[in-house]
Order: sequence, then structure tokens, then C-alpha cells
Amino acid sequence: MNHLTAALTTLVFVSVAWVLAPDANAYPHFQFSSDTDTCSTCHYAPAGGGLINGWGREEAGDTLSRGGDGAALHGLAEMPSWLAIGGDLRAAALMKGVETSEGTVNESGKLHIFPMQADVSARAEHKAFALTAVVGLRGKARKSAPPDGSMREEAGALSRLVSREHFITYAPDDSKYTMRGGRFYAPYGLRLADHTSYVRRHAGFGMLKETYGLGVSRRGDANETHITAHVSDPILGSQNLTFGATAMHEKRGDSHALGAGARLRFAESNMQAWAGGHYKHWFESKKLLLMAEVNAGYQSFAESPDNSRLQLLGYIGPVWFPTDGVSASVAYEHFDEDLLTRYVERHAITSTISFLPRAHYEIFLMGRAERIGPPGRSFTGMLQLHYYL
Amino acid sequence: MLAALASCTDPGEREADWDFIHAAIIEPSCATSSCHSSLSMTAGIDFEDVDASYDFLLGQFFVVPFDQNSNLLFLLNGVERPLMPPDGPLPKADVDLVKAWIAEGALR
Repeated sequence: MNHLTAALTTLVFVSVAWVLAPDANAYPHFQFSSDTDTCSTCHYAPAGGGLINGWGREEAGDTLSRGGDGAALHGLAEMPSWLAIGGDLRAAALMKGVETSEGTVNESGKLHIFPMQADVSARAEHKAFALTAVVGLRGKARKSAPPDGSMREEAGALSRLVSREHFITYAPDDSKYTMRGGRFYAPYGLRLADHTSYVRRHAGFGMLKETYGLGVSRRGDANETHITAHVSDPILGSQNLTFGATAMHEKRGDSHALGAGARLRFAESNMQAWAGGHYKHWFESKKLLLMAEVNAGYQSFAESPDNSRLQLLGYIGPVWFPTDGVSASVAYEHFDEDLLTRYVERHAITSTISFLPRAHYEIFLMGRAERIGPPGRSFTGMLQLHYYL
Repeated sequence: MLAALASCTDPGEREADWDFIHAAIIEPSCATSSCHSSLSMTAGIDFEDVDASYDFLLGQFFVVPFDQNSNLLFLLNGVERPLMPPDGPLPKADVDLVKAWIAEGALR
């Protein structure tokens, strides 16, 4: 890519990033498969996700895509050592098919094309402190259609401006510990990029569900631990405030990682607890990474103690890396919202193909078939065009 | 655990209580960040607060106590109205619980 093209791409990105929507950005399948054993090897954040560091940017061109310069701004300008910038721009085309007990619903087959993500990220550090912020404009996949035909006042355009992450880290030199305070996802489980995956959306890690928290992370030679105390958004979520804590420990071998975690969340009307584990195993000869996560949950309700419920949440599947810049996955997902009640479980088969033709560019395809408590069914097809700065 | 699973109950045995329905079904399924949360308020609807959600559903006649033709049930089944939630139906057992709550008078 010549400098003019790179400059134009950057200009277009920065312009568009202010009118679109934010979303998630972690690629846990690159652990082991890219010769790196921890997420924080390539990301600044202590548990991965978000801005990638110098090492990650070199890997972006060398091993994760089919070439190119992964540096910020395509290497057009050298950032001062105390500053890092980045961003993600993602457009999506989505098609759904849905069947309920009443038959096929009327919006099935309709194509939705929408801006999915537009984040601008920056990190500035001074000595052992670093400030990280991600800012974007919230978008939506569908136009609002009041179901009863009436129009009510919606949140104004300015309310679409969101910062899903902003936090300060303190990481003294030669220390294994990092402290973090601010808004971020408390590290837990596989930390998949897809916010619609069951293990994310049903365990409280859906889109824009980042909590405010105080966390400590310890990174050892072959293990890492993250403990976070958190509260839901105290401003916009003040009507339904939740408090909680999340802990995760991961132990790594040469080609595998085994983690365990627990998450507690208290709201005025209910309490929810999750405990579970995750596992990754890299089969070098087959270029295959197996990923799995399983969580058992318990939820009790202040006003309905008889309706307390046990829950089960799981994900398992391989990711195959047939050649540089290409990965394909298939996974089984399961969520049972109440193990002691029939016909409330969800099953999904999700398959994805990711193609990174050059550093900074990704074409992503996803298909998902769901069975939602008999007799509901849902089918999703999605194409994403992704550019990262 | 296996013994507990073997004694699975029918969905209809759950208590059709509004606080439970809101916390277990409405809030996690409808008050998502891109839909009817306090942040997005799609179509001007916010389902995060249990009391405000109840007042809205009855005040705007999405729910009419004892009426099995309440608008909310058409939405949850995707019949003659856009399906809610649009990305995938609720389990029928959960829709049936909402139906039972309405049939019992939609009490708060």
C-alpha cells in the first residue's frame, strides 16, 4: 500500500468512526496459534482485548494476515513511545430466519445492512500509569418501529456517543501485578469476540455491558489471575444497579491453557452466580485450536424464591488455520436458563470464516442455527467487513 | 445433579410473578444495550426498571389483564406484529409464562 492510499484510508476511517457504532474486539483463537501464549502479549490490557501493542502489530503483518504493515496508521507516522492509538470500523450485512410455535415470522429473510462498529481508541502512559479510552457512536441494526404504531421520544443523537471502555492501569516495573480502575469487562472465560455468543450474552458480557470496576491482575510465567469488583453503569443503569465480583485464573502449558472462574452479581430483585472453566488446546501438526467453556449458574429472586433456578452455559469447538490469514471455526453452544424446567434450553451451531488478506483488513462470515426450546428456531447469516487502524 | 435433572418440572409449574418475569425474561431478553435499555430506548421503550416496565406495559395497553389477545403476546409470537425479540424468539415456555401471568390478572 502506498502512502497516499494509506493516508486516504486513515482519513476515511477517522471520519466514519465518529458516525458509527461500537462493539467487541478480542480474538482469543490467536492464543497459541500465533506463537503467543497470552492475550496480553499482543494487547496492552492485562487480560487482552482492545488496543494492540507493538508486538501485536508486528504479528498482525507477519503471522496473522497474508502480509502488510500492521503498524498504527499503516506506519505513516511514528507514534511517541508514550502514546498508542487505534480503532475498529466494521460494517455488516445480516439476514435472519425465525420460526416460532406460530410459524415463520414476518420479518424472516429480510436483509439488514448496518454499521456495526466504529471505535477510536487511545492509550497514553506516564511512568507506571496508563490511561486508555475507547470512544464511538452507538448504532443499530434496525430502524425503530414502535409496535403499536405510536411514536415515543427516543434518546437523542448525542446519547449515541458512548465510551464502552475507559480505565487507568498501574503497572510498576518488574512487578507481576497490574491494577486497573474504570470501565472494562471483568476478565472471565474465553472472552470471545462475538457478543452474541451464548457464553457472553447470557453471562452478562453482552454489548455495552462493560462494568465499572477495580481490578488486580497477576501475570506469572505460566499462569495469570484476574480479580475484579464491579458495579453496573451507575448513571444510565441506575434504575437497575448491580454489584458484583469476578475472578479468573488461567494456567498454561506449552500447547494448552486451563482456566477456572467465578462471577457473582447482586441486584435488588435477584442474585446470580456463575462458576466454570475454560480450556484451549493447540494441535500444531493439524493447525487446530480446540476451545471450550462451561459454566454452571444459580439465580435466586427476592420476590419469587420458589422460582430459583440452576443454569448451564457452554461452548465447544475447533478453530482451523489452513493457511496464513485464514481461520475457520465451528462450535456448539448451549444455554439452559433453568435446568429444572423443561423446554427452556437453547442450542446453537455456529460456524465462522475469517480472512485477513492484509494487515488492517478482515472479511468475516458467520452462520448460526439455533433451536430455542421446542419449537423455536432461528437462522443467522452475517458478513462483516472489518478495518482496524 | 442428575437426580435433580431427572425431576424436571413442566414450565407451567413456575410461579407467574411479575418480579420473576421481569428479572428472568424481560430484562435479559429485551433491555439489551441495542434495544430497550435505558441507553438505547428503542422506540422510546425502556425495560430496565421493574416498576416502570410494568406501568408502561399496562399503561400503553400492551398488556390488558385477563386478555389472552393482549398485544404483548402477538409481539412475543411474531404474529401480525414484528417478532420481539427480533433476533430470536423466547422459548415458548417463557411466552406461556407471560400468558399465564396475563390470564391471572397481570398482578404487580
